[in-house]
Amino acid sequence: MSTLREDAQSLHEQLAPHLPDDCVDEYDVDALATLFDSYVNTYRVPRTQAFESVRGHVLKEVGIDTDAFWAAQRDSERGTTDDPLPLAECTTDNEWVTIRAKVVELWEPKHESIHQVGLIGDESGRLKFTAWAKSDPPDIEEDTTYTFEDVVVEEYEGSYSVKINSRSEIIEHAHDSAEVVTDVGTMTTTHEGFFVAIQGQSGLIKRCSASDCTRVVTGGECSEHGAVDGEFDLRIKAVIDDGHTALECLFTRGVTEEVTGIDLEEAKELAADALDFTVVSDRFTDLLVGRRFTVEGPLLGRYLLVEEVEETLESAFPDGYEEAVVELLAEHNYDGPGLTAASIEDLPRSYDAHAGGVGGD
Amino acid sequence: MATSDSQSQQGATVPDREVAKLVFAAEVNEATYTFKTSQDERAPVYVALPTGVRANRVCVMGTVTDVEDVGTDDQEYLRVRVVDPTGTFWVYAGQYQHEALKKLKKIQPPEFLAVIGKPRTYKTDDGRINVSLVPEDVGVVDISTRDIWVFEAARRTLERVGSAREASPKVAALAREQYGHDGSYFAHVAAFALQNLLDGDEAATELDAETIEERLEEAEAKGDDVDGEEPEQETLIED
Repeated sequence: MSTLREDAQSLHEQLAPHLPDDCVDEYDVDALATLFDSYVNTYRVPRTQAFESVRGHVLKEVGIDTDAFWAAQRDSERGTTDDPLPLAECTTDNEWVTIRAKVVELWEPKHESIHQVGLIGDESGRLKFTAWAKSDPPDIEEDTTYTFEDVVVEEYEGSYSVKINSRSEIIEHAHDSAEVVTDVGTMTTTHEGFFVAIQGQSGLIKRCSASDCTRVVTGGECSEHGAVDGEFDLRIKAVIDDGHTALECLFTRGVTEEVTGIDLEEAKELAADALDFTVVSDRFTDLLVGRRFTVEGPLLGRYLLVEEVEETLESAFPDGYEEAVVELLAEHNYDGPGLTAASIEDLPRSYDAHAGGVGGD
Repeated sequence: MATSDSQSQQGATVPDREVAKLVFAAEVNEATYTFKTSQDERAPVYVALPTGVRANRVCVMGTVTDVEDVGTDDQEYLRVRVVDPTGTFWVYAGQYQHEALKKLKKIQPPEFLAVIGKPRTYKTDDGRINVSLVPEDVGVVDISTRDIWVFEAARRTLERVGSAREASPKVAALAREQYGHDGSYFAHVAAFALQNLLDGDEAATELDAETIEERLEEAEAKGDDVDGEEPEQETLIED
């Protein structure tokens, strides 16, 4: 890790062009180094956060125009007004980008410091945007496409959004222009793992027949519309687990039929023969538990809504496992006796994982 | 969609489902120390894996070599041996594992089986602690799925050996204290299983039924067979 002095130097390089003349001496390298020392050694700010804290302190004390400062700090920018960056690729925190998107919806700002907030989308996906009042941004409207030039990507707990600042240019596109975004896509998630469970209300189900109601009918009743006949449907609520994450996945009728090879008519016959709905879910469990699948689709709350499903078979290892095994062992720097031992009892009882580098750092 | 909306709202109160760890038999059979992270009677029980990670649920695969009813005349209790490249999983299913029991009864060994279940410990008559699996669900699988499992279990085992000390320091310290070693040995076990997978790759074409039988017998002979169902008392550690 760099020394505090080095940090002071690099911060000085960032700040120098933005310091008003009367502050230049006040914030020279020595002064910054003293500030770092005070933050870290006197006020116990964690070393990893010292740089941002000191920088924030100086920006505020001096009253530097932060938008201009950050604009100068960007080392790269992706997307141009002619070739905007797809929203799905806005995944680098603090990156300046130019994007073109339609305003999907505007939300009520929860604080007066926010001018507008909402959701924008292009073919590749959707992102939250925030326009802060202090940047004095122009108003944008729902259902209109804009090119957002020089906006900044922000990451918060794994979710991305874009921030419109005073340096941003917002160009409106007429509703009949070629730039208009017609289809707004959704972000999809891919997950590969073992099919470890089927949850309740899977298999052959009945949905409420009231219009606009998709609730599952249990015991002949819809929780909203009371006693209804209901219409048959097929679905699976599954758990697909890769040993790190147990992800709940919703297979609607189409993908359920695809993955089980049983269609709605056949499922109805199965249920009629057995005088029991649950045979369908049992049958699905028999067919699927233990198998390995790759699923893809958008996340809806806790569920991944499966749009694509594929079983991971030998096809994942077309030339056998040799190459994959060599790669995996190399990744963990392993070349111990486990590869040559005739029996598991012959293996040494310990392994210096960290000196040997197994997964070290 | 109305249904998924209502589910995601409930989601906040539903505890996250416990992940099914991918663990070889050699490791799960050494995971004799159990603990809870809260006083609540219904709180999940974990075993401390020797590689330093806790497990409430596992997903394992192997070859079923034997299904035996060890219950009483009026109460079925099945003991199933499932063999992976490193040892034997002991799977016990009784009346409370109705679904799994139904499927296990139909199995004609040898067959490849996936078992999703909970590790449990019990004390044998001679005071040893053994580990068994209580199945939540089982599924017959083909060899390619079983092979992928061996590969993935090796990957996760190597990951645990490399990262548990940082990722789950409390359980890692606990495991070291309980088992007297740091579990790094399981890197060798993972490599051993991978080598076994490669050997199987080559041999698969020439292996006839007789040699499979022989290998199964060998593997079986290694696991020793103890009965008894006295559950071990769990210890409590703060999360």
